[in-house]
This record gives sequence, structure tokens and C-alpha cells, in this order.
Amino acid sequence: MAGKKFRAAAEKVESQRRYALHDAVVLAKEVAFAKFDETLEVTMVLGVDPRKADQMVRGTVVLPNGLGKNKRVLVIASADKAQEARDAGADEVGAEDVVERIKGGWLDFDAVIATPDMMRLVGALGKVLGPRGLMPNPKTGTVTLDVAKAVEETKAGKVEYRVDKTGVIHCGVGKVSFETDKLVENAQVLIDAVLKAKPSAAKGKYVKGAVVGTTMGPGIKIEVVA
Amino acid sequence: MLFRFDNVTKSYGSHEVLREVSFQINPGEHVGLVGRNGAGKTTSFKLLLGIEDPDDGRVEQMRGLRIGLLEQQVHAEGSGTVRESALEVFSSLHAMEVDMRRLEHEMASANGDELDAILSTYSDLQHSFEDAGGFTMHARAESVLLGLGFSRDDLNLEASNLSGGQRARLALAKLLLEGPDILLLDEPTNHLDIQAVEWLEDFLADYPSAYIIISHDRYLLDRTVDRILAVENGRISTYPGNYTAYLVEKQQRRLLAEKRFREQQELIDRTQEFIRRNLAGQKTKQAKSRRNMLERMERVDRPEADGRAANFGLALAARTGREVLSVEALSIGYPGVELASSIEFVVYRGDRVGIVGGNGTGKTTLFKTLLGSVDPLGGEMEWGHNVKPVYYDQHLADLDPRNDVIEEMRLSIGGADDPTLRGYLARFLFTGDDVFKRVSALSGGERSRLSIAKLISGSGNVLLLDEPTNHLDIPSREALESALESFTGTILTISHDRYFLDRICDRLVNLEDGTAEVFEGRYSDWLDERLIRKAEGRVRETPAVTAKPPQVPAPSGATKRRSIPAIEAEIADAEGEISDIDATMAKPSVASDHVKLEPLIEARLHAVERLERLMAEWEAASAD
Repeated sequence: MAGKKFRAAAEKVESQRRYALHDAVVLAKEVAFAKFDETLEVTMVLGVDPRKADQMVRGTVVLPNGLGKNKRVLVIASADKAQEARDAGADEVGAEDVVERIKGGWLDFDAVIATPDMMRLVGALGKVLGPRGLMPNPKTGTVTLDVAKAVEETKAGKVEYRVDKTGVIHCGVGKVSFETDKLVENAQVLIDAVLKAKPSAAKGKYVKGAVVGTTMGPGIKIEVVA
Repeated sequence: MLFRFDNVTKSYGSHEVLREVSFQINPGEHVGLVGRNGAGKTTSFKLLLGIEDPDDGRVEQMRGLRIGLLEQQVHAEGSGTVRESALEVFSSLHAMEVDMRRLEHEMASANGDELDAILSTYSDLQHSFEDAGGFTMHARAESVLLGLGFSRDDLNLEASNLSGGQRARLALAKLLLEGPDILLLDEPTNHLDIQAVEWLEDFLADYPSAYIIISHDRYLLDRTVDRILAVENGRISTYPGNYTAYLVEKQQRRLLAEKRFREQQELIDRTQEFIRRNLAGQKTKQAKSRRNMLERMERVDRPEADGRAANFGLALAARTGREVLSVEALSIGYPGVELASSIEFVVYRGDRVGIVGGNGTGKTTLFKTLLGSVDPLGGEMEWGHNVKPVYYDQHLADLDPRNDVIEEMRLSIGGADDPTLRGYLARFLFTGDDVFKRVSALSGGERSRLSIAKLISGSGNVLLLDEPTNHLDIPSREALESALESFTGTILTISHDRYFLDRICDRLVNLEDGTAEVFEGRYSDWLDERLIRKAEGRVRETPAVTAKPPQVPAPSGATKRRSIPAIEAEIADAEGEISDIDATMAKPSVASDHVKLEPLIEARLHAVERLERLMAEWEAASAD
């Protein structure tokens, strides 16, 4: 059963109406009631069958106004590449040593970037990193030779989006404490990226619906023009 | 619809197992498949799995139907640990993993376009791997195994060293990991100990997908199925409800069929009499018309008499010395693994000793040690005068699958002619062409019957039975029980069959915590005794409770006592709490997840403690 505060918030939202993005963000900020700084999330229901490899929607986008949290970035690289990563501001850099630490249970980071030559070590960490969504992958730019760029982008607010098994994308685009315009800008960048990533094999309507909402707050439907 | 049998007929040689059978199973249905040994239950499974083809009719399946089969005889798993064996179900994921490792090595030395190509392939592969649950397979395998009663240490045991019950649990774990649309369980309880059977009952009762169980365990069927398919005389009939409802309905249907048969017979008799008297007279036209009617009449089959149960008549056993077996400070196990030690008991002529204990506590090993096929790790044992022990194996290793039934019997009774052998086998329900069936073609129950027939025909006077009721249908079980009751020799039997133990044994040897404890009395007495001891043990284990002032007002005149109704209300509340916790623990989603289970177990312990305190208080209050 939803709580009192949630019901009060939900009453302010017209459940059938599709809001313009800006209005939706304003409303979401207005009805947010939690005692902490909630995250504003965008949820998109896509007309794709994610079980088919050619209908996968997945990628990364750098949000212009960041996410409002400092991501701890681990880079697994050796020699020159390790130095590049350090210079770019990586929080942890290492090779065999960090792989061993992770095997021992160390997980104090929010993103992992690796160079291709290190993947033979990182592959063995699948059991640990995979379920947490931290496994480096070339498509998301986390297996790359250009580690400096990857670190900078991650620090700047790069987020990964991907459809889940039911064809839905969830992605945070900032904190409720952000200025409205910044949130709108972030959300719009994400939506544009998802629209651009439409797979050619997808049939029918691509975006079936989209919602914004805060961590604890009600969902607010938005109009998405493809 | 998951699958449908459409007018299926199947024969083996001249023996028609299924005749024009039609039925359908829908998603989420919980079905029990019952019938005598050899009636065609396992054949139905084989048809569904596509191992056998129907001679006539069709077996239709939902497209992409995934079937999980738990077989009657769980074979020893190849080399590897329990964990490795469970992970075998993810063979496609393993193949992907191997490809990923290869690409990871290749990308280390590649450059330019070649690297891009590798990265692209790798990216797609990793994505499919992740979607198919590759990253979580280890965690899932572990949680299912722990849920099925394996401990963390057990996961590193060699799968080939597991006891029968552990093997069955491992097989079940593998099935659940595959996540099939329908589970086929062929006698799932055969090698499970009592706790595991109860666990399985709870698990199945809450299992969301469809399953079909072949079982002779009446209690299991009563608790887990909502529909019965009965295989009789090559036909399959459907009965709604559980096993008890099936028995009632079946009896009613039989009475109805008998009535219909009797009425038709009377009609036929009357009509024939009319034809005989009038065929040549004035009413010849009527008589002829009635004759035509008789010819066209669809005859009602005579309902079969209610079953034939096996007759296990046991020969008189040669008399042994008074002391049949004495065991002193015996340690059993295998080099490096001691299963139990300080085992001490004496068996006298005519004793019926039940060996009980959880799976893997060393029951079968004890038998093997007594028979000399495994060396004792220490201590002494001695068979008495003129003792000829014979062993009945739960894995039926004493049958040669290449022989046919009568040859196998001939090995046991040397020098007997065919009529004698056939006469003997008939007492074990092998009649007509049955005696020429190959052992490899026998159903599990038929194999057990043959094994028991061989055992009894021998000259042994001490029977060592390892799970003798496994694979036997209910009438055969009851017949075995009465045959063993009239056996004049000595019996040692391992069993998990609660009813069998209670009926046969008057002494018990319980293997637990690495040692053996002898109990003089019946199984149900032993269970009562255990409950009492457990309650006492808990009081001793928690001295803190007695040291501190009790939370519940104690019967110490100074404190004011609560009224009996108030205590009773609290007792009801505590009992309700326990049953709620039990219900939650039995849910498959919870039972297979040790993380969720642990707090529940803790909570249940507290609730039981609270109930015991309340009971004590109630007793004190009502004694006043």
C-alpha cells in the first residue's frame, strides 16, 4: 500500500495527461517529498524485442550537467596507459594488483575502464563485476585504448542506458536539487540519444511511452516526439 | 496447452502398454500419474520426451517446450564436485565463456581494424552472455544447492561419492536451474530422507510451473497434486483432486461400471432367451430384429477386479546361532573420510533392526562394511554361527541388464527347470511373456520385484535390505511388509519409509552426528522420544533463560499469575506465527535462497522458544 505522502503527491499528477518535458520536470520537483536529495529518472518503454541481438538498444551518453555525484573510477591498464588514466583523474589505477584485490572482495568504485590488453585479466572477474553492472564493455566505451577520454567522460557524467528484458530503459538524469533547466537539458540529451539508437530491425512504434519521476515520487507521463 | 496426447497407442512386442490414450496438460497444472508397476507411466514420460515414438496417434507439444526430467535411477555423476556438476546445466554459457576468454587474449595483441572487429564481436557476445544470466550462474547454482540442503562444504564434495539422497537432490537442483516449463518427476522421493521428502512436498505445493509426478507415496500425492491421471489396462483416466479424492472417485466409478455391466448382462440374457424361444415361432420377426440389435450392441467391458498384489512368500530360513551379529567400537567410512565411529550393537536371531539417519550419514556404508565389501576403519564386528547374510541393493547393481527375467532368476536358483522358475516368478507378478523381458526394459518397480524375488529364493537367513520399498507400488509394498513379517530369519533394513519402518522393525539404529545410537522400540516411539529429548536439550542449551528473571511471569507465588484464557490467546498467537513462518519458508522463491531463509529460521527458533515458555506457564497455571 502506498504511503500517505506518496498518495498526496500522486493526487497532484494527472495520470492520463502527457506532459511536456519541462512541465513534467517542474511537477516532479514540486511533488518530491523524500528527506534526501532524490534522483530524477527517465523511463522509456520501447517497441523492441531485446531477446533479439539486432534489436538491442544500448549505449552511453554524456549528460551536459552531470549526475550530481562523484563517480569513483577504476582503470585497469599498464605502463603508459596507467599514467594517462592517472593524469585524467582516475581514482584507482592498476593491473594484476587490482584484479587480485577485487577477487579478495574490494569493490570501492562505481565504474571500471580497461584497456583491451588487460581484458584477459578482467574476464576472470565476470562473476564479481557482471552482476553489479561494472563489467567493462567496448560498446559502452569502457574497453578502450583512449583511457583518458573514458575517464573524463565518466567523471563528467557519462551514463549507460540499456533496455531490460521487457524492453524498458531506466536512467537517472540528475538530482532534484538541480536547477530545472539543467535537469530538462540532461533528460532531453538522454531521450535524443535513445531515439538516435533506434535499431533498424525494430518494427512498429519505437517509443511506446515515457515517464519521468523521482526516486520516491509518482511517475509523470511525458510527450516524446520521435 | 503445454502438450497433448491424441489417441496415442504404444506397444512393446505383443504387449500393448497404452491404447488410444488422450489427455492434455496445461500450464501450472500439478498432476500425479499413478498406476501399477509396468502399467505405462514411465512410457508416457518417454513418449513426451521423444525418446520413444507412438505406434499410433500423436504427441503434440507447445512450441519450444522445455521439459525437465528427474529420473527414477539417478546415475552417478561423472567426475567433478557438486558445484561443477550443477554448473553443467549451463553448457551453452560455458561455450560463450570460452569464446570470450579467447577474444580477450586476441585483443591483447591486435591493432587497428582487427582490434575493432574483435571488440565488436566481444561486445555482442558479452551482452548475450549477460542476458542469458552468465554472470549470475555461479550465484544461482549456489543458492539453489544451499536451498536443497547442501552445506557450503558439501559443494566441494565429489559428486560421484554422494549418497543416493544427495544425488537425487543434486539432480533436482540441476533441473530447477534449467527453469523448465514442465517438470517430470519419476518417483522423486525414492532416495530422499524424511526431512528431504517433507521439504520437497512443501516445495512442490508452492511451485508455480506445471509438473507431473509419478509416485507411490500416497502422502506426497495428497499434498502436491490437484489432478490424478490413472493408467489402467492401457487407458489413462483423469480424476480431479488429490490422491484421496481419486480413490473415492475411482471406487464410485468402479461401482457404476459394475452396475452398468450387470444390467447389460441381464439385458443380453433376457434377449437371448427371447430369441431362443421365438426365432421359429410367430414372433420370428421380432426375434430376428432383437438378434440384430444384440449384434450391434456396444458391449460394456467387465471392470477388472481390484488388482493383484505381489505374493512374496518367503521360504523358511536356516536357523542361525542366537547371536547373529556383534559390532564393537566400529568405525566406518572410506580412507580419509570417517562417516561414523564407536558403533556398538548386538543383533539376536529374529531381530528386526531398522537403520535410520539422514542422507550421507553412512547407512549404506555400514551395510557394505558388515558384508566385507568395504573395510572397517577400526573396531570389530563378528557374524554369528551359520549366518548367511544376503543384501538387497538400493541401486539394483545385482541385475545384469543384458539378461532376461528368467535367465536372471536361473542364476539365483541353479538347476531349476523352466516351469519351476516361471511358477516362482508368477508369484512376483511376472506372468506370460513378462519372463522374457530384458532386465534393461523393466520398469523401476519391476526391477525391484525381480531383485527381491532373487533375494528370497536364495538361502540367506539374514536379510540386509537397503531401501526395499523404493520403486514398489502400494499393494506390492504392503505384500512385502506382510512377507517380511512372516520371515523366520533376521532382518536389518535401511529405510526412509515411515510406515514400513513402523510395521517391520522393533529396534532402531540411528546414525547421526558421526555415531550410532540404538533404540529399543518402534519408529513412532523413537520419534516421540526424540521430540521430548529435543525439548529438554533446548532448556539445557539456554542457561541464560533460567539465569535471568524470566520475561513471562514465572509461577513464583510473588508475581501475579495471568489468567489461563490470556495465556491461551498468546499460545494461539505464537502457533499462528510459527505456521506463517513455515508457509513463507516453503515458498520456492524463499526456499531456494539461503539469504532469505536465514532470518526466517532465526525467527522461527524464537517463536518456538516463546511457545515453549507459554506452554510451561499454561501448565503451571492450570495445575493450580
